[in-house]
Amino acid sequence: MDTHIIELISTAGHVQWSLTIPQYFFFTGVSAAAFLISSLTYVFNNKTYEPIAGLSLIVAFTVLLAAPLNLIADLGQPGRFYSLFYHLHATSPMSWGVFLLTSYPILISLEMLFVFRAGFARRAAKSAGILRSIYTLLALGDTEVTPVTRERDHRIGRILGTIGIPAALAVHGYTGYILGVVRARPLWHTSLMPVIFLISAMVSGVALMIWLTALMVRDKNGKIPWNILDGLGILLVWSIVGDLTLRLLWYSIGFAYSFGIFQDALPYVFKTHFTESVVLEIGLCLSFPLVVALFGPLRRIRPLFLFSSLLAICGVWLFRWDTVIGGQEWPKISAGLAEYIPPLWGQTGIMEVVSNWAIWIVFFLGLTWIMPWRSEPTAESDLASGINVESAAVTAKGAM
Amino acid sequence: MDKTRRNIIKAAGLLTSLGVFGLGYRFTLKGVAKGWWAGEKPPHKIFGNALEPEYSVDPKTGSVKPNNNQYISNTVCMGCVSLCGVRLRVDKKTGKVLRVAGNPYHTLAADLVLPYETPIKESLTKLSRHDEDGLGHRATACGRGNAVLAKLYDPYRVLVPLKRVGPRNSGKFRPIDFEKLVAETVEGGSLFAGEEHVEGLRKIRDIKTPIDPSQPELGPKANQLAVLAGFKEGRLPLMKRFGVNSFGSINFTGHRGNCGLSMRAGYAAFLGDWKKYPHTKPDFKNTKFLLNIGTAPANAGNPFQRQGKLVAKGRSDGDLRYVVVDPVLTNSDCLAASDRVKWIPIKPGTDSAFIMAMTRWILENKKYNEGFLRVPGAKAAEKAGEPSWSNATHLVVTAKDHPLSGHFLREPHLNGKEVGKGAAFIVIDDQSGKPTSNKISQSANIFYTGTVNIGGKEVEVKTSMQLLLESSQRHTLAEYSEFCGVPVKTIIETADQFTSYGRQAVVDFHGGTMHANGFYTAYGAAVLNSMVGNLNWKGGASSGGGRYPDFGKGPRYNFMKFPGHVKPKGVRISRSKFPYEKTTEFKIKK
Repeated sequence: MDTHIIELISTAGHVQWSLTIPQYFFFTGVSAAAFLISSLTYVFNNKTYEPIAGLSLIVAFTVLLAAPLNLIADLGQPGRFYSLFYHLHATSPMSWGVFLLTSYPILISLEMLFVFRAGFARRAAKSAGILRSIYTLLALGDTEVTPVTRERDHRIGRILGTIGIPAALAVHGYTGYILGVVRARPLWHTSLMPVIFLISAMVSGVALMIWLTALMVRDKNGKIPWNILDGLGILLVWSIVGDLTLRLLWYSIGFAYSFGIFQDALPYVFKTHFTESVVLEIGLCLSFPLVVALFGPLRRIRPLFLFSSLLAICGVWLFRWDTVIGGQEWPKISAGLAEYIPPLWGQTGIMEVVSNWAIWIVFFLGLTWIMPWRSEPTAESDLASGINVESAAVTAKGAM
Repeated sequence: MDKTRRNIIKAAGLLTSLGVFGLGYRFTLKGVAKGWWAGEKPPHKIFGNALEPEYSVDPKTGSVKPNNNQYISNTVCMGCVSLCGVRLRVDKKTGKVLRVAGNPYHTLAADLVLPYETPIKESLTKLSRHDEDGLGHRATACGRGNAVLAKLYDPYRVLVPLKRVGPRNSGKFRPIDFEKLVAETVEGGSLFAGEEHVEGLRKIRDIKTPIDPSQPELGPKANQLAVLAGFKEGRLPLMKRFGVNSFGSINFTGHRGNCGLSMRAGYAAFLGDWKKYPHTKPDFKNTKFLLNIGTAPANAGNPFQRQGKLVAKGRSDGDLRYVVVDPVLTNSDCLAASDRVKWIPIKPGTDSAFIMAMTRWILENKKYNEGFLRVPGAKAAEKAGEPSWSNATHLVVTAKDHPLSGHFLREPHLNGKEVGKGAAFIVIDDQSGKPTSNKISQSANIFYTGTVNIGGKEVEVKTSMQLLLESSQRHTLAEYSEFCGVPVKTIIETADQFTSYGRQAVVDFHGGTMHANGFYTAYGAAVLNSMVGNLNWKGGASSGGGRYPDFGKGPRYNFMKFPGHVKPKGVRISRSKFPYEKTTEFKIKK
């Protein structure tokens, strides 16, 4: 007997959080992950990732500029977004988010100013006119580059970076928190949600950095720095293992021991959305990149490695989609399941997500153009020649 | 790649991306540009285009401030047969009813009802935030109650007498004077152009001359007036007083077969009362398991709001679980209701297969309430503390060639006497093991197949319960499942659940048996109630608790008593309450 439910009169049960919300969650996740990668160098003094530390910081900053635009698009009255700033609800995670989304980018931009100060100082020294004034301003008025200033910049950068780590965790963790607190959505209601979001954000952030490193960073010989990419690959492995472990905990406890409604909801997600949630998300986009990144011989087939990293990015996006949209398809009061097919155009259409990526590209290209993020000359060379313009130029040219 | 080329590519990428952004975000940007109101700006920035409140109450002092543009009118809704109390808001200037809400004085509209003595002003405070009283005293009108307001302003509402001016079904009418309406109805005449002469009420009103002397059962000429009334909104008895008791026509049709007759017949068979056609309702407040066949709880059998509230309360705060067996899933179940509610989809009109499958499983697995079923009669029931008893133990003559075949065996049958009113039924007494009167036996055999000596001959008999078992065994569960489309597993689960709550389980089928085999479905479902012995038990099937008389002898007038009161005679035109086989028409046609 066909028991497929067709609702003629439905009292409610629409998907309220549109396509833009997975995109928002995705970008804040990438921001948090990229910030953590930059902190490996700026806070923990790791030398391996130094060449991509500045780039990571720019990524963390730029995706966070693009991410809140999704929230504005999702509003029925987009012109009212600013009212969130003067309506503080101390007990609402959404209200916390407003202040996290404001303070965190300020923190990153301050950190950028200090970690890129030496670079701006060098540019100020070799340029003239208005450009010189701008670079001097960006170098915080101090065009000197000495071991003392370097030490000071590192110190302040480290302090800001240290403050930034919990902020980065919070700015993405709160999105998972928002879902976790909703008791009426069985699929979301788990304490694990913020952690799952953070770990899967690491997957997407690391995978995106693999691609950006391959595109933007070159070593002294003008080659793609595969050693860094291999390091990121191992980071990707750990992130995926963490992600899969948390998923296993979430699904198994939820399915076997949680409240009845979850036990109904989970098989629904896996059955109805089998292709997206199992075949594509867990299979192709998580397990496959795990295998490729884990085994050296596979990882060294570079196109395969890059392709699997791309899949990992897609997989995390798909996870956001499956969770946010899938969670809302399970009805609160109507009999059947809600269906959601996003429109192509419109305030919350597919093109909005494409455009959101586009504005990120604008921010990213703009900032990588302006910011002196590429590998800096060593302290010794600075000492030898005061400001080593040539060395910086050579490095820059080598990277082109 | 040299630096310039790279920069050109970057710039191109940057500009393209900017373009894509503008294209995709134009809707959002447009919305932002419009400022606070992206859409139409309503009259009020918070309340939108909602009506002005009819009054306001200071939440601290409880003082009421009326809205001088509106007045409040407590009345009764006629949207359905529930007749809930409603509170109307009326525009003082136009006299137009603006909105319908619940009447806080009315049991069907409010859970915590206000005493009738409460002044109106105080009632408004009780509905407000003052002392948070409004939560408890909240009075509601249902969706239909709100929508029925549209009837009042329906452009097709008939407000003056209309007379047909074209041929029948032409839909052509014109308004006529009320005096003319009375004159034409009473005096008759050539009322419709080109049509035959119409007899007026004056001429028809003849309670002596038969309509047709060859068919005397049709009664006097007065029966040629047929009165079609609406429903019990208070004026029905007045219509009856005119048509039946004054005019003398038997042809007065109230509710009857228009609605739920199969359900009522099923209950009449079950409760053994073919005169009043009573029916039972689930004790929504106390029941723990409610099996709804062909209906949803509170979706049939008024009062809907009250039942709905009890079901909602039971489902959320109480222990109520319910199952809805229906081809259509109504709002009675949803996935969020979790395991408190279950919808069992079924093929339309096959509910009796589902019921008989349940019956078979319950009987074969001995899940029935044996103590109740063994009680053979009223006296035994009284002694056993049972508010009712069943005929499970009563013997039925099953010998095919016997003249009593298919009949209950009565005490006079045994000694060759005439069966009178109230004659005892014969059961096989548990103690003596012998055929005994159900007025004497305290407990009797429910599954008996054997012989009883009737008039010196051993005749085969069986108990009703045995016959029910055999009847249910005419098909296997798999066959029943094939008929109704419900899996065997689900049938067994439902039967098991239904018999797991003692007497706090009940089957309801009000409104869901309107198919050709509706009587059997209704009867079968009612019998399920006797399997758990829940009749008039707390949480079981309750018979009505009585009502206030809406007509008759009052403190000042007695509308039912007047000079010339007529008791109409004859067979109804609908043949209801009269065996058709006994009419002359039947005899002629035969």
